[in-house]
Amino acid sequence: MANVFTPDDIDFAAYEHETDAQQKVLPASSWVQELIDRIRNPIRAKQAFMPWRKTAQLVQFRPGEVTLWGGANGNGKSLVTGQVALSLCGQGERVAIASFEMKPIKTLERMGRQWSGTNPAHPAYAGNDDGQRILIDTYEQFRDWTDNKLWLYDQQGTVTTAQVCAVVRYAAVELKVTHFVVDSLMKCVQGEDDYNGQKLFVDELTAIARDHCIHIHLIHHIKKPASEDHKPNKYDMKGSGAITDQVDNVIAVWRNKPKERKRDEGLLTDEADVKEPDCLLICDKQRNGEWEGSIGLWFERDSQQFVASHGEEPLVLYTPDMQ
Amino acid sequence: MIGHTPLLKMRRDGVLPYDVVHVIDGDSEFAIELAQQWHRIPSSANGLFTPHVVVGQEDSPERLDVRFCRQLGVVLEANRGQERAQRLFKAIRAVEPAILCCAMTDEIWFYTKEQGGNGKRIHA
Repeated sequence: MANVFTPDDIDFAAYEHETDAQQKVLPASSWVQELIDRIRNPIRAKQAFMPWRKTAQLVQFRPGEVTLWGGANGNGKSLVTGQVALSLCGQGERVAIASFEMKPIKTLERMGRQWSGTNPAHPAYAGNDDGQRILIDTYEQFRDWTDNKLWLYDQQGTVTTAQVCAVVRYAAVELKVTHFVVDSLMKCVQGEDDYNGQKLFVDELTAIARDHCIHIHLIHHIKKPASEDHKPNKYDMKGSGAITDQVDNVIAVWRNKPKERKRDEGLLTDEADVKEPDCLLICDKQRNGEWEGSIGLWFERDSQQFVASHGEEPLVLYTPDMQ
Repeated sequence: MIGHTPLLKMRRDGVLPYDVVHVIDGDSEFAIELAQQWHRIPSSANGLFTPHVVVGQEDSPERLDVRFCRQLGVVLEANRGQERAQRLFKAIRAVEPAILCCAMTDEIWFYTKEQGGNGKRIHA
């Protein structure tokens, strides 16, 4: 049978408009009833976590939400989100990454380094068969580990918002992806001053996340700060203010350049190195969580991982071949 | 709530599905799949796009925006107890669907716009 649609005999848009206030202005008792329902049937929502144990009680990624990751150029947004994506895969989530700023092979090169905890460019691996064998074994394990866990969208440069939304929907419906990373918003919406375009795009992403019960990680840039020492907050995000209004969580990534300067100038003491983090994750909004604040992380150069405290070993998912 | 967005879009565009709307208060994977796919894949039973909307446990019936049901035939599948079923029935009835019915264990609740009021309760 052919698919049949019939014309609507009411002007639904007008009806919605007329009844909007009636629908949205409700007696407080309807919310109190919801509280009673929650006491009766506590909802244990599925949550995913960041890679660092100390953050487990602070920040969670819930289905149906959008998290905005902001930060200045070169502050490590993609590195952090890459590590988060690996951790999500490790937690049994299915992750897709659409990076319009980096080729999939580059993204995976970085993630492979984070996953294995080693630097493939290290001289120990160069120019000898054993080194090459270990590297190949590592990346073969990485390849197998990513199966049914990780997908990448092969598209660089600017795309349309419709394309991105279609890809997110496809990933959610066909691939059963539970976390989707979009890197970055400014590559999806043409024109930095297209505030309506940005608002509509983020609105659409929040609807997709809600309808498909997935979590979308949206990477975004911040306005040029007066100084690199400035720690960004949600008001520093580029573009329309509606972006941060609509998303559920806002996390800014801040690289501690003042500390790096001190190190370069030989002024960084061991004590300060231990005490002062290399990077801050500043959670400035968490709609469905209670905590907001900063999380200090230290950078481990070989693995390109961020670790929870100074000198901590990176989390290694690679299992060396013991034969 | 899942599955209502395509129906809202259709109605805002001035078209109606040629089938009843199934509002399912439950979280079975099958129901969620139906709610996510109904506007893309027609029903294998009748070839029609049959709207399926899943209400989550976290959705409070009193605050649910079910205006998309107005003047449509609606089947409520309530799987979270009688008390919540009554609240959902009341919420949908308030937006005046053409027909609303809900089958419970030992009775069927039935409402039509023409009959108004509390509708007809048919005891099994």
